[in-house]
Amino acid sequence: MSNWQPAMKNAISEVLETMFFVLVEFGAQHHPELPCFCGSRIQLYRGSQSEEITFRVTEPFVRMITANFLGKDEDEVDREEMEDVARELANMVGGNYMSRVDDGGWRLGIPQLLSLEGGAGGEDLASCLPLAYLGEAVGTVELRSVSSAG
Amino acid sequence: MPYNVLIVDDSRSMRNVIKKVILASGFQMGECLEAGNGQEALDVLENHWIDIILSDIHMPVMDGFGLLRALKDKPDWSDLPVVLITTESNQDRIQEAMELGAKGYIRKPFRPEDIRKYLRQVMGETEDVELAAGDEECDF
Repeated sequence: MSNWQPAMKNAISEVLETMFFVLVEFGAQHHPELPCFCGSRIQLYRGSQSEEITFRVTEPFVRMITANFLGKDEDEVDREEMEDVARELANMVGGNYMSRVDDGGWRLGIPQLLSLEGGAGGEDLASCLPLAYLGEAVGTVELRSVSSAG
Repeated sequence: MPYNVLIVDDSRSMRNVIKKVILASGFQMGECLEAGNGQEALDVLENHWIDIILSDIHMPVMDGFGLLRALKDKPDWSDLPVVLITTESNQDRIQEAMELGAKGYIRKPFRPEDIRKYLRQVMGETEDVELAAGDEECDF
């Protein structure tokens, strides 16, 4: 899955616009120390090959998309809903991305919530895509190949 | 005639959104029940009359394929229409689900009209049914 960023940008845009009514920008400026509220991850796998897509997003951003998704006011959404929506975001983007790059036989795992320590991370811009909303950094998406023990 | 709907998805938020979409679509929904995976769905079916199931595929405990197999194996449930609402895009997997008895397939992310259209088709209603007031503005 080389040259992953164009397909990932399209997947993220389609999911966020269709289900969350949000237009994000893919900022060139990366902020590894951006304080992120929650992270979610989904694995794509084919035999011994495996890739992980990891989202790390700020609290205001995940609160906004949760409110949009559920049709609530931002101050009405709770932590559990925000975490559920963060997982669902990874799920939908993972599936959408896979449909764009799958050359046969890839499977989608079950999305997981990550406990975050530190910021947005992702020092390596080759594997990390910074996300921005209205010019403000709101998180990152990272794609990593995972080595198999087998 | 109102239809009883069972929504099966491990995301509570997604279940809520699907329910809102159905309510806003003008589809005649009776009871709306929810389950977090295939096994929970089978438990619901033991105790409730359900007319249509909307199910995710990727779920812990029992996934959508497990649910379809279980329904197929039980004569009382083998004709129950199941529409999949899922991120799955692998055509072989979709084909496998259809062979197991799924009546339709909606890919996430979806538009509200995708769900409305499938519900009406699966329940034998025509697409040119007059829309309920405000239906065109159906959103989440």
